[in-house]
Amino acid sequence: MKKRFLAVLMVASMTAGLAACGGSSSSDSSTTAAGGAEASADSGAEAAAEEETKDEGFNPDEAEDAMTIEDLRAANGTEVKVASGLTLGVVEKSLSNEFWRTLEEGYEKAAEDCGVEIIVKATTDEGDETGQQTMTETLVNQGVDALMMSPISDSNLTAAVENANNADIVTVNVNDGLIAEADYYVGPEAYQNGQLAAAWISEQLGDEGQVAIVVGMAKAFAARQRTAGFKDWIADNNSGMEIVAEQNADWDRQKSKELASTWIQQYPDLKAIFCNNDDMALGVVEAVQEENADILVVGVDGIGEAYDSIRAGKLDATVDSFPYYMAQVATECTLRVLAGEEVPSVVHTPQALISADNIDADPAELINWVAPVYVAE
Amino acid sequence: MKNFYAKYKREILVLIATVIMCVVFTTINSQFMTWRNMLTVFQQMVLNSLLAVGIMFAILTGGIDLSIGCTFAIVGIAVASSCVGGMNPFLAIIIGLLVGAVLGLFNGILVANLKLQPFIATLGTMSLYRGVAYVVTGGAPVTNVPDSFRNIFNGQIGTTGIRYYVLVMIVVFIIAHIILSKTKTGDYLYAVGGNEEAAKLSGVNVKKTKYIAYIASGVCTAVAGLVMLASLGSAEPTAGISYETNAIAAAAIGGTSMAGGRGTALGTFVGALLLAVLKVGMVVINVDSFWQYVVTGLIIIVASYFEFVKGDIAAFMARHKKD
Amino acid sequence: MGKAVEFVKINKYFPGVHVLKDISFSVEEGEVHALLGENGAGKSTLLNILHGVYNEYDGEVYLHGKKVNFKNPNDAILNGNISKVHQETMVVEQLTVGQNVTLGYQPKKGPFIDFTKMHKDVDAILTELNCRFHSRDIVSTLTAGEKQMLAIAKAIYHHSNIISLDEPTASLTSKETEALFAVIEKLKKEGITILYVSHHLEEIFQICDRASIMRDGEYIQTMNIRETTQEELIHAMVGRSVSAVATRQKPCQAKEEVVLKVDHLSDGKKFHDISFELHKGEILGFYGLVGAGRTEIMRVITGADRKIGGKISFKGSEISGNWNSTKALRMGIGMLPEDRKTQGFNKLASNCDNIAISSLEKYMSGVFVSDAKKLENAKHYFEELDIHPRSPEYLTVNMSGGNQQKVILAKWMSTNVDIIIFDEPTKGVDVAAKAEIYRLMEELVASGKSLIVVSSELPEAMGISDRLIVMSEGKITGEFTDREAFDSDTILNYAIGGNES
Repeated sequence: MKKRFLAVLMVASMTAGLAACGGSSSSDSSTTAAGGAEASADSGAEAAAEEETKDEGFNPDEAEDAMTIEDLRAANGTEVKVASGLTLGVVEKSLSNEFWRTLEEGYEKAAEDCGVEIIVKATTDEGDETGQQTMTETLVNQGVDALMMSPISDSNLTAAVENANNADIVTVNVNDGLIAEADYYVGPEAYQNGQLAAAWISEQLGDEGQVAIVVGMAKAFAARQRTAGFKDWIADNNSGMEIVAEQNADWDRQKSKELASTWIQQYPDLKAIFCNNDDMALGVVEAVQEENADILVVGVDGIGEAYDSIRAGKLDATVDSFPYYMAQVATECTLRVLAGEEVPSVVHTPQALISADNIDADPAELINWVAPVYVAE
Repeated sequence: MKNFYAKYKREILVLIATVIMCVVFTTINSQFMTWRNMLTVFQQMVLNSLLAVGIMFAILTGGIDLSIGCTFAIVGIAVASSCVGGMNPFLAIIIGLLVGAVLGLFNGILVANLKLQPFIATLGTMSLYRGVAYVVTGGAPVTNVPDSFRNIFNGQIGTTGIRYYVLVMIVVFIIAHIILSKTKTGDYLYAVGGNEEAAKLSGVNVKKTKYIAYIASGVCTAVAGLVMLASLGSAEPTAGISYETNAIAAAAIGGTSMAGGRGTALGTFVGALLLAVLKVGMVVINVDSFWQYVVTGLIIIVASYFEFVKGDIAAFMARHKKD
Repeated sequence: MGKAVEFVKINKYFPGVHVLKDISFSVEEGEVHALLGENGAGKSTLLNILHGVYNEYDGEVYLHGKKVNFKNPNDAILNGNISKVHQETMVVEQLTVGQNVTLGYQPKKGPFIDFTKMHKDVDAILTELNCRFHSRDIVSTLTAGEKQMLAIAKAIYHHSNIISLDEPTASLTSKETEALFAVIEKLKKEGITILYVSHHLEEIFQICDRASIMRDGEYIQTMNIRETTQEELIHAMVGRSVSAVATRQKPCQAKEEVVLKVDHLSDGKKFHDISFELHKGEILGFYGLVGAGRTEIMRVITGADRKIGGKISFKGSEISGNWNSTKALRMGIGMLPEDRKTQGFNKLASNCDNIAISSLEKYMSGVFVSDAKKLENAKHYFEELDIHPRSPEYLTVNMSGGNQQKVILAKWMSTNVDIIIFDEPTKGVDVAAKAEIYRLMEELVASGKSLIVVSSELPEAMGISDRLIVMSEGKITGEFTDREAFDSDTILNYAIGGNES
């Protein structure tokens, strides 16, 4: 009996202790969470590696030589030479997520435009880290000329990429997570994601009021950067907006909904919720509708369901990084590298905030898209 | 009254623990103990409690049903597709329950007829059902579920804020309680879980009892799937991944013995309630997300410690000695 | 010779119960000392105190004149040189004999186990004990009797000079029992003290020097075996006169009517070509050595296992299709399994629920099962079968062996089955409860039920049966229809597979 009491006492005090320290550290945890990947100075991402401070790991948002695709075309010329007989390999995440399906369509479009074979491999779910590694190894063994990869975590493809580098295969990291060992990174500036969202919310709210953030599991680089971009914008602009809560919802729609309904009870003055992706934003929207609350909800990714929801007047905005065009940019950059051109270690792809105001605009116009010009050698 | 205490000692203990947690949360943030927030707690326990009461049926017979998260997703997809296709919502609900029952029966057949170990059998169907969900949908979510369906669960009683799906949960638990404590099936479930061989020699139809357990698991999961669909308005093939762990936790906290033969609907209810209070409470007092996992884990361990000192070690050992 | 063990005023309390009351007696060095008493008399508790399982008690324990209080059984083995051989020996089936004997205390060569030395040492002990198995054998290949020897070898390995044997012959064949007794004799000659617990009084007379008797937690007396009789022992144990052997008080009730007919039954593994009939009101005995296939036949008849060939008919109608226990119950047949703990009842359930499980239809009120009706039914049988304590709400697992058996019997009486199969009905049941069970069997046949009694105890099989079937290695080798003409030598001969001599 004594023992049992002791055990209960022990756990009770531990729990209380955890609650206390958890409470105090909650506001800045996701920015200080250590990056998964160790940067290596001998890779193609030298500039980024030099740039990195403390133990933050590889951060393409802060690469010094980063360029947008427009800048790259201006510097190297619009025409891209394509050698015959090239094969490109693509490894991406679960096709059950619309984002990755759209990315795949982009690769297909690019393959059609440039006449190169592109093999796309995707995992069945977003947690299959080793499966994705196997797919990558298989492509390396097939002897593709270049790999374009969007790993599940910052570390699961590290070994495979090292093999690819040893086999002189060009390695390109697309969107997220991050591979410090890859030669090039092509993707949106995730940090800018959060900045765009913060700026838009500020404009809508007259730069005041309570806001909250639903983050995805911080394993992914994008989650950390989007959150950081959002928070930094508020801090840097001396905004009148106040971040009252920030919690993880595991990228799960049901969990984000439950989180939001708790917040709505707790913060009657909550004015906006920024979510790390659209799936979670759509869950939050359901909670907001259910409680009849007047809260702005902004997501990231620009999936079709998010567009539908904006059209239906439920979701307020999403930051679309246009995977369809991202894939085409990635392919273009890869082919430029294979053609022997000088390409910076980081190329940023276009993105834009979509709200009811511009939802029906042609995305190509929104980002001033110009199709690449391929010339067969 | 004394009888009630003796019979539901464990449940009362968990309830007291829950009340203590409420007091602690309220002391830290007075916002916690408000009517609206309590409603939130009840709303958020619905899904997990329905999954938990389902899995409890499987656990009672000495088994487990790991496939509930996937059944959950399939039911959502089936009903969403039916509704979007213009089917009468009540008919769609019946289809959803049937799908849950069939998927559960399949588990039951694997366990009772093929004599597969429940853990392995449902580990298999977990992947199988998830695969079916992906194949059927091509990976894309089914969206735009009409309000005619959603309102059946999402509507509220007058302006009280009490949603119908909370009532659905209560009804499911009352039915489960009656089945377990007042019907022959209930006695058979406990008998099979307590000692399968003795039950068989006593003339209990062990196979049928196991079918019932897994069907019950499937149906309760289906109800959870319906509530999820109504609440989100869309069905994703990825829904419910790893939800079974929380369901097992709720059942275990409520006193369900993993060795089978012991557990009550009431216990599972208070177990799920405790977890919901914990979850909402930690958000309200703003505990960092990462620490929430730590705290939840500790609570589960403490709860099972109580379960084990009650002599489960003996049951556990006996079970393994027999193998 | 000195005193190997001396108990002085041992008192032990469990919550609410005074289980040992002022126990004082001593065991001489080098004797075989029996500890006798009914189930619940306190023998196990006393042994547990001696072996360090319980270390909180009042009073003193002396070993060879030195006061001891062991922290745990391991402490007792290592520092007290005192070992206990449990009735269901604890062994790791997948390891070798040597590994089991030395488990935890293996001879080492550097960081590695010295297997050569281990097997050499253990084989020496096994030879000493006249064992026919070897240190390198895998334990799962051993028989129950050999496992018992293994446990004794373990005690010797640890240089124990006091060894307790708790019901060592419970699962042994008669040959194995003889071998065990030879070893006990040998150990005794080497000066090792043996504490012997058994319900089999004939064994006590065969190998023990003295016997200490306990009843209801009290020490009654120590008797010199050579100067006493079985009746005196029983009287001391029970406090009144009880017949120790199975006898029939009432005349044979068997009628012409055949209630069960088995034709050329076979399961393809354990038994072949079994044919017999059971008459209404008859007690049909099945005698044979352990492993003769009797239990397997009964399990097929009650639908617990599948048959391969042959026919089973109840009251003239042959069973067809998928035969299972549920159908068997509906046909009116029930079984009290040999292994009560693992097959007889639900450990988590009360007596009341264990009694009701086969006959839930009886307790319905509307569509629901009524707990009150279940309780009423249980109370009725607690009275009728004289089950102690009179607490239907107690967990069955906490009852004594004889009363557990009665609870299972109450279950079948509640279902009103016509045929009841008793598989080793008195295994682990004390003397007084044994007599009770024999009495109940007679009452059952008097009320028109038909019984099959499977027994490995010859006196029981001969004493209770109207008719006796003898089996050996899966076949029926003999049948005795006249109970007056039962002859133990002939029966034994059939049981070991020999022909009539």
